[in-house]
Amino acid sequence: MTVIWSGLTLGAIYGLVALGYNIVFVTSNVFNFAHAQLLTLGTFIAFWATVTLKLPTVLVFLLCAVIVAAVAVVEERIAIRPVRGTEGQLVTTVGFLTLLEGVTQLIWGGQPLQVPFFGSEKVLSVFGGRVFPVELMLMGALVVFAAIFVAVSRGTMLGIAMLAVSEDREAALMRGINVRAMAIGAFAVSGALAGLLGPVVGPETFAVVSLGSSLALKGFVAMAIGGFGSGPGALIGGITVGLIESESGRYLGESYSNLMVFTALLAVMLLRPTGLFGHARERVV
Amino acid sequence: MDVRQLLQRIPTWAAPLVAAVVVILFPYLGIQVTVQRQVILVCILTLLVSGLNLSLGYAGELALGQAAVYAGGAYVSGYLGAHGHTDLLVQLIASAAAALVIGLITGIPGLRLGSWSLGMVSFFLVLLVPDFLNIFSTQTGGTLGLAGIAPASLFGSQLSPRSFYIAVTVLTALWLLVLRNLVTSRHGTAFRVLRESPVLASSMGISVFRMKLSAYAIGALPAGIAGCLFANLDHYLSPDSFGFDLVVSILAASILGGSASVYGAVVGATILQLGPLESTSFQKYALVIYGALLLIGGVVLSLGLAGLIRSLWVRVERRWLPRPPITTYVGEQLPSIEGATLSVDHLVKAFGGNKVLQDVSLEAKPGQVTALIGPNGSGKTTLLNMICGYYRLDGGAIRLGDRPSPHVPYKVARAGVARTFQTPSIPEGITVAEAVRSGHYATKHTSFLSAVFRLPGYRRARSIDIEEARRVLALVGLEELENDEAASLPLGTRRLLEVARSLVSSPKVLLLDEAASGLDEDEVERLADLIRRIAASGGTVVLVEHNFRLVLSLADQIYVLARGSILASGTPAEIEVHPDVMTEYLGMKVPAADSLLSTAGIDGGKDD
Amino acid sequence: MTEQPVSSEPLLSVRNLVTGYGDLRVVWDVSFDVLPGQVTALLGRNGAGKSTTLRAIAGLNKLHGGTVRLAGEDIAGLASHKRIKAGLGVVQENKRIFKRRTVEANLMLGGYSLHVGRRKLKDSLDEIYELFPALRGRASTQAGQLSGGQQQMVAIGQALMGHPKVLMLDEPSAGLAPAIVLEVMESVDKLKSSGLAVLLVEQAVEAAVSVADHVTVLDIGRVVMDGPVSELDDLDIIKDAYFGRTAPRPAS
Repeated sequence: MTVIWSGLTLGAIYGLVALGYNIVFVTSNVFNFAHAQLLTLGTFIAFWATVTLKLPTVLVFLLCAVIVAAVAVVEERIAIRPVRGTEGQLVTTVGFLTLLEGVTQLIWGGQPLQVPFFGSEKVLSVFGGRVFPVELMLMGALVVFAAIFVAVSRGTMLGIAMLAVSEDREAALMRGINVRAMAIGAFAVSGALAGLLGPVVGPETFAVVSLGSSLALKGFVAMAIGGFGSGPGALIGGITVGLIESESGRYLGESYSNLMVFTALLAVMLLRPTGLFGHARERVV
Repeated sequence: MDVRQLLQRIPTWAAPLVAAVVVILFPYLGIQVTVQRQVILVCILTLLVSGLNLSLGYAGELALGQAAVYAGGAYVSGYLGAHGHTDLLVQLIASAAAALVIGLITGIPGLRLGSWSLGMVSFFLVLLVPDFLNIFSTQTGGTLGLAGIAPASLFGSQLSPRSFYIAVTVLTALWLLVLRNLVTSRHGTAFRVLRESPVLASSMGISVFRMKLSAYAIGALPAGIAGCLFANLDHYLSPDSFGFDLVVSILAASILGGSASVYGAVVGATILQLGPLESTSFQKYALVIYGALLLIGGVVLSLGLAGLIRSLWVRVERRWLPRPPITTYVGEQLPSIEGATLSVDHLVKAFGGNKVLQDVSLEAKPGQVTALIGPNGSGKTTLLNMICGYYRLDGGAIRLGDRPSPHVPYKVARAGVARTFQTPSIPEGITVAEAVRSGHYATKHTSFLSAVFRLPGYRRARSIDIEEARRVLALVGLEELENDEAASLPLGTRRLLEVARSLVSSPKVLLLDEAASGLDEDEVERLADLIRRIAASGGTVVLVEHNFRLVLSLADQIYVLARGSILASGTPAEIEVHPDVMTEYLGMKVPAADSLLSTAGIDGGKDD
Repeated sequence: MTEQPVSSEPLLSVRNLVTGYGDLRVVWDVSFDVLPGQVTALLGRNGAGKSTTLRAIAGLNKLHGGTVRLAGEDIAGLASHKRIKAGLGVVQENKRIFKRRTVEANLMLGGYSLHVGRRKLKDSLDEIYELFPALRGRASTQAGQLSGGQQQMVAIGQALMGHPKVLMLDEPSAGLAPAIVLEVMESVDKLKSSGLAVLLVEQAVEAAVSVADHVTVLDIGRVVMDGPVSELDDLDIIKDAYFGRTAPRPAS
């Protein structure tokens, strides 16, 4: 059971990264490869706010959300808007990820930093497995944010507009929706989400610069398995990846866990390219 | 003037050759061993970058797995070296074979995915390298690294550091020569066509599947070779050498040097290897600088250098050259063209439950211009796409001459159906002559190897390409623009160029899709004249066109498509007075309109 | 600034418009006006440049030259969504609605630019249902599952939800059965009598002329005929213009 708990925890982090991808993807059909690095930045700011500044928990969250959201908006401006075409955007988002990694390393160094958890650090025993409160909180966060994503996208004017943009950009423009502002907004929201998660992910993973690139890939797999642009997809995809990773690590050996995730990715992409919850997109020659 | 002429006579390969010879001779020029080591590292990075350039810069596919292929090549050679197989040639062949296998395995899913899914999958492969090394830790040494690689030998004698240096530089120079020969060959142009548009490529008879796979496979080779050389440099391999940082630096070097270039790889690799980044004081800024480089490079890449030139040209043109005179056109006679009858019999096509084409039959005969007209949504584009093999038939048949037409786009093209596009589709970075020659690509098969080694078969094919392209360019009156950048020409000229590119394959059927749209009256007249001459020489021309006057003046037979079926067909004189055609274009099919008309007071004359 | 002696100022005024796709120019020097309570029909064959003109007015195609005024205000420099906010209602070609969303969501999206909140938008849906009673019972149906005619009604209703001053319709009759076309034209007639200025882009001449006050005919990107419907003796003159039998006449 402990293995399952740790798989679910990993899955929660991947799912939260996938959710961040989805927020941006739904509104602007952009895949923001640097999103996981934004989350990593969030863990560092959490460290800085908690350990260096010794701020109260509420302010830590606020600071993380604001700073990371601002960085995400900058990213949209310099790495997304001037670039046409997916190849170019992949290059620039990888560039932004690297830039962010470099800057983070300059400020905080390359050593992993321990981010203290604001809640209890006592191990719990749930369903016969050992689990930390922070891990439960991560899982809770995934469920809550995925639910918010679904609720907003289905139940508010903003959400309806978001889905309209993803279905037909031009028709959305003709309804007076400021598509560009939506794109910036999506980056800001996904950045804020990444920031808010900093103080929760940090205690689990430590604040370490190299976290971004591996999270980016696993988050991508979660999104691909769940379906591009789907909230429930991010949840299910994340958990699937987390469980595959921890279970195969447990029963086949550490070295096989990434390999199994990769196999799952290939299988989904070749057999069901839209993912489990994705929509088929019509193609025109 | 003399100096300039002299300079122009020096072939373009002379400077790189001299540079290569000088670098190869470094050990004899008293260059220090530490510098030699740096040169070897530059060579290795150059090989890696040039592999990426082939797939990204030329074929337009972002495959980021070079680091993984590199690791594969390195460990295969390392393993051989540690087990007594030190011959460099054996190792090179083994590493290259391993690279080819890894390239193909990752390339095949990439064929289905494309764009960033391919980028991600190939990226993931790099993440798997340490895991693979651990799984095979008895062979690879796992996280500890692979030690005890014996020094390389050649033909039984051990290579001294000096001869190893020479081997590395010679190999790198040879690879660049191979790549240069490849990208300047007809295959190189075909890669650029693929990058511009897979639809264009298949319309020219190029198999998209084969070309993409070739680009991955050939792009993997230098990474394998680089791996082999790396294994023999320090006689030790560590998993740390093949991580995310390497991916980023390969990408950065490629962007920095220019992805669509051969020697750009050398420039990018040299700057990254010898530039300030490697010095310890700059080391900590390395990631920041790489990141900034990728950001700026990505922005420029998306515009493309040719795109920049084109927009500049358009500005210049508007300012000083309102319309570049194309004068030399004399209306040469075309040699006879062997057209074939294109016949469409009772064609049916439905998307979902929606019948787009119902029982459509038409026939286009050699020596005639057959026009297809119809209002929006009448199914013209669908019909055209079906003739070109993009959709499966739901009923009926399409025949070319006395054979059924194939259902795979590139096979349709090879069977003799050439087409132009509504928006001219012309790859960037090639000349007018090359663009026309690319239309001749599929008519003659030459292997990649014969292109690389410039074998007689290749030379023959190429001289036919050149000759045919000249002939066709003269026909359309563009021979003076032969060496101009094709994509930066004005629209009218690009349309003529597209026709020339289609003609060069001696098509049995020529499909012109809205060829006159966006042209001014002179240009329309030139185009009309060309079409008349093609038909007069025996070609089969199918014209899908909005310009009604042009259709009336050109066509021998007109088919009117409306709501998915043929409404009327006949000669221009018949169609012009055909009542159904009038009503279809004028919308008189509304029976109740009469009543509305009377309320609007049309017949009464005055409304207000 | 207009020279015509008209009873009221035009709500939409297009002068010397030059536009196209990328560097491909399809429309050269097109001018016309749309007056309040009137319908201007922009006619012409397939490919004549009608839709391109409409798209340029909506800001979807780049303007290479000319001016576009909405209620006297120059909107040529505005982003598309701001033109909508300024009072332009657009019904795009091919019933371009959000087919995966419900009818109600579609209509409410039409009022997005008003920024009045969900509840208020919901209350104003009734006006649309009054104009198109057929939609009333289908509020929670996925828009893509409606019949073609009903989808067109959703598209028009969507544009009306934004309370436009000028309504532009791009080929609303295309692909619809004659009876439905009649219904659509009747609703256009109702709208114009409520004071709306309507620009009707059509290929179907008679349907368009049945509601139009003014016609402008384009061919190959230029105005070949222009004048009030009341001065048309019969439709042959438009037919001739369609088939290029008249010499192009510059717009006044």
